[in-house]
Amino acid sequence: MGSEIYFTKEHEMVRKAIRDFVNKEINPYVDEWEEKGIAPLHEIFKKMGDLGFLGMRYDEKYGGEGLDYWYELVLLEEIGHIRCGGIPMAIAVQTNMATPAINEFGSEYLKEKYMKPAIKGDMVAAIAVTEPDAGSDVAAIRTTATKNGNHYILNGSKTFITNGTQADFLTLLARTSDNPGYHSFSLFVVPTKLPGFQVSKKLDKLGMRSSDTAELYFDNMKIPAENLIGIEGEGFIQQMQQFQHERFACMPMTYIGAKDMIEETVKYLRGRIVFGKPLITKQVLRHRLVKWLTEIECLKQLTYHIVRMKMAGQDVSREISMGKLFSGNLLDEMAGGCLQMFGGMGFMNEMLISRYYRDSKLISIGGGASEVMSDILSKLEGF
Amino acid sequence: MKILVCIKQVVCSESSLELNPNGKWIQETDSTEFRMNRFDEYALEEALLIKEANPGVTIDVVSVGPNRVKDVVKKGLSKGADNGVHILYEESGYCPPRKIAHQIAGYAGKQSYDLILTGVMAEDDMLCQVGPMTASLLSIPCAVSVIKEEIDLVNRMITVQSEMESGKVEEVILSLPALLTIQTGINQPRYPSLSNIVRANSQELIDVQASFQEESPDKVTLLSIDYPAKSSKICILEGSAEEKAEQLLTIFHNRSLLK
Ligand SMILES: Cc1cc2nc3c(=O)[nH]c(=O)nc-3n(C[C@H](O)[C@H](O)[C@H](O)COP(=O)(O)OP(=O)(O)OC[C@H]3O[C@@H](n4cnc5c(N)ncnc54)[C@H](O)[C@@H]3O)c2cc1C
Repeated sequence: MGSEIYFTKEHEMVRKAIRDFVNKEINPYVDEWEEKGIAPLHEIFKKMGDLGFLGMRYDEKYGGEGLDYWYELVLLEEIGHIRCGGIPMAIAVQTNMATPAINEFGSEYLKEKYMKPAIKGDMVAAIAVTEPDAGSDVAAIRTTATKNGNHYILNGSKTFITNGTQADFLTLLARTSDNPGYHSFSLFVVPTKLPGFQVSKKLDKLGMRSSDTAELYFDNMKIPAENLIGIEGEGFIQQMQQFQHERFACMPMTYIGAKDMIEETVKYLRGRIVFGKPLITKQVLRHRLVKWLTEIECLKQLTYHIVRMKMAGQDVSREISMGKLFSGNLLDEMAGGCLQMFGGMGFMNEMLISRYYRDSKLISIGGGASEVMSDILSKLEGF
Repeated sequence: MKILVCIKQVVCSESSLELNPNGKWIQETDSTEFRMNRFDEYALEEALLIKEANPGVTIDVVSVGPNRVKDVVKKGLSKGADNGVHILYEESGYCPPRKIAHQIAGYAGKQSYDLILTGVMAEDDMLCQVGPMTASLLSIPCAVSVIKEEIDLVNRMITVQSEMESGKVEEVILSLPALLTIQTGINQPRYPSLSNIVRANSQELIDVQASFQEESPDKVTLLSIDYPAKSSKICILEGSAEEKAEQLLTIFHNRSLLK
């Protein structure tokens, strides 16, 4: 309700086009991909790229659509209706996690050679920051990129990398100097077809099962110096900015997915008779549901506020950190709470609610855990 | 080369429908949903494929009807047509094919199209007549149920294959300009692309007033329409799971639900 205040008829046409696509080209196959533990990203992205869904905000010069943040929000909201978390996450890696830094700091060459095919859906992208010994503490990463003439030599490993077994290139953060401080890191575009790259393992996970997650290994991998994104030594700061796009993407996917979860639950509660009455008549359950609906609405409004701020060119790190924190907390409470209302049935894999439950858990961990968001906010508040 | 694709807006069959008080058509309300006739999507896709294969082709889409049909014209643009034409025809309710054909021919006759495409039929009345009638009014050749076409622009000829009964195919050569009604399955209609959606929304449509000159009197009158008769036939299958499956297969087969 009230969405016409924010979205024009044009946005709604785009919304409908994406919704049609999700309903016909994605949702019917989700169960199969969840079962297989992987989705054919090249195929899906090609279709999406042809329709212009992968480069909403990017310049038309690189095959993007040159549209504003409201359109991006429409995309993120609509992919939130996909009946799992894995596929929306794979898409968001392509649009909001691995390409924003190339768009903002990358050379013409990198935009032409990597961003353009990513927008077209001809290349699958991944973002490689986390390492076995460094997740929340990004500055603890150990993968090194050492300059050698026209090349950098990459050594080290990355883990938990989404799209990792299929990616054509990684946007990767590596150490380019041993000096302490935040100016010792650089972002690179790493083409996975070069020698020295290896997918050491495809990881088996609790949830997000249709998304492939990998551990990657770099053994004296030679990458052209021109694959450096922006200025050497600025990678950490660039990545912190790229994280803003990633964390923002969590918010619409959370409030849309959460709303769908409530609808699934209400449908079940209406039909399930316990002690002679449908479960939905129990006040304690209804109250819990509307509490979550209220929080969902708050998160949505915070998201719309952020879009307005972004359109006005304002810094949104505080609001996005709050939104990411709120999303994780909401899902942690709600997914378990909804599953509880299904009783034993909720515990069965055949029920969508069990998938929501498994997938939701990632939101408070990935892309900066809730505690990390709280730390950022505490710092911003000057505590 | 200029192609015209004729598109009808039909009521979504998934939405709940009610007859209007005089029982002559469905009652339109604010919540009635409409969409592009699915058969016409194949005609439009065929035009787009011709355009992609031949440089210099432009595609116009046209729809005849009240203001709401502008939505399907825009949908045509969002799939990649170059221009959208809306012939404003305010009559609500049932409109016989002859009247629609008269309006399309009246407009197309002044525009020198090389090729006119329609869907093989409309989802609502399934009459298959607007195409052939338009061709007749324009005195141009026509082929129906087309499943393949090949254009020879140099000699201004088009070779088409039409679907006949029992799987037979008829091949004919028509001189351009010509009209084809396109059969489903000939292609896979595309989704609208984002850039075209945005363009479609800002692009002005060509608005044309319906012309009632030379409109011949109706030779067909719709008497009434009715809800399908309610039938409550159920059939409970007996036997083991395999026997039931066998029986089910036979039923599906007899009703042509399985090929
Ligand atoms: C399915 C999946 C997909 C992923 N995809 C990617 C990807 O594509 N690219 C990529 O680079 N990474 C990816 N990650 C990694 C993810 O970003 C990290 O797991 C996350 O940042 C947390 O890091 P960590 O696992 O090393 O946890 P740790 O840093 O070891 O933290 C463990 C826990 O400690 C707590 N904690 C952390 N810091 C603090 C603190 N300051 N105060 C109090 N408590 C704290 C938090 O609860 C945290 O969950 C993915 C992870 C998963 C599970």
